[in-house]
Amino acid sequence: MSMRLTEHAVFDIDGSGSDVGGTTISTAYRSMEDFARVMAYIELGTWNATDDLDHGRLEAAQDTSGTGLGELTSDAAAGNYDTDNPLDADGDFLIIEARAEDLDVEGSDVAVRATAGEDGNSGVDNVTVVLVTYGSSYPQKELQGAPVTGSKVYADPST
Amino acid sequence: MITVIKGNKREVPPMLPPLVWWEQVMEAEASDLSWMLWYDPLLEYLPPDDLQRVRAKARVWLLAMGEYPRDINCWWEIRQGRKARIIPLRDKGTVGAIQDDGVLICQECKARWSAQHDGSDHANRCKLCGCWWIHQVQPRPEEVRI
Repeated sequence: MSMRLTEHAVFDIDGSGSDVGGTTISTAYRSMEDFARVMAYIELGTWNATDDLDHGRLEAAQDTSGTGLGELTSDAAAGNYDTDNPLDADGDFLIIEARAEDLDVEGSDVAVRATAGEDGNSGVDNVTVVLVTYGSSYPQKELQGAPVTGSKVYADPST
Repeated sequence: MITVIKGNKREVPPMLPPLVWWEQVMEAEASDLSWMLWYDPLLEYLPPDDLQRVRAKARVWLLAMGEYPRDINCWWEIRQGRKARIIPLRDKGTVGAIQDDGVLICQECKARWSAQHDGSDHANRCKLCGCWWIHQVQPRPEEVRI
């Protein structure tokens, strides 16, 4: 079986160092149909000393349009992301892992996205958010989408 | 099952993926670490759980880097201890180099701290490594005379 990650996983990225001071950012919704696991990686860049990462969570919805959006993980005092012990410095990272069976099946949740944010906005607060959905039941090449010249490019040492 | 991991890149050995690092830390934490010949004065202040976690991280660092960590001031448990005031303030100074855009770069840990929107000064101590700062505005290249 191929071990190429592109045949087992898909990636969604938001932020790339976006300033989340006073706001939140989220990745696109990703359907977990036929995938086993999802992981959000949230990393702080240049950060303000007065601010904390107030939001770091996975959210779930009934479709990739965000219907019935709700929290899959919590970000609160003593929550999954404990905001009483927040990320608050350059280089801090938050990893949240979940499985398909954690989704609310009765609520028909199938899609997830990762969200990060900061409420205070005392200064620039840069965050990068990466969502990796993996463990495809049907590994196949180019799960991220068909290649497009100059836009969606797959490369490896043999190409 | 939901899993949440928090940390800073500086406590993860270079080239070790964070998830692999965490798995190794969990494995080391569950083992007997009393044999480790490693000591840092900061360990004196830690409660038992945090002490075991830090020692586990040190073991993982040893396996990855071939030597024990020399500076654990940026590690999560140490930072939380400083916030909780169970670890004293760090008695080390460094330069806080302020760039053109107002971002201050700590010369000890290289953390980047953004300027305050209200124009007030930067703090006088790094929240990440604990060093106190002498603020120094970086000269523009054209102002540097050789």
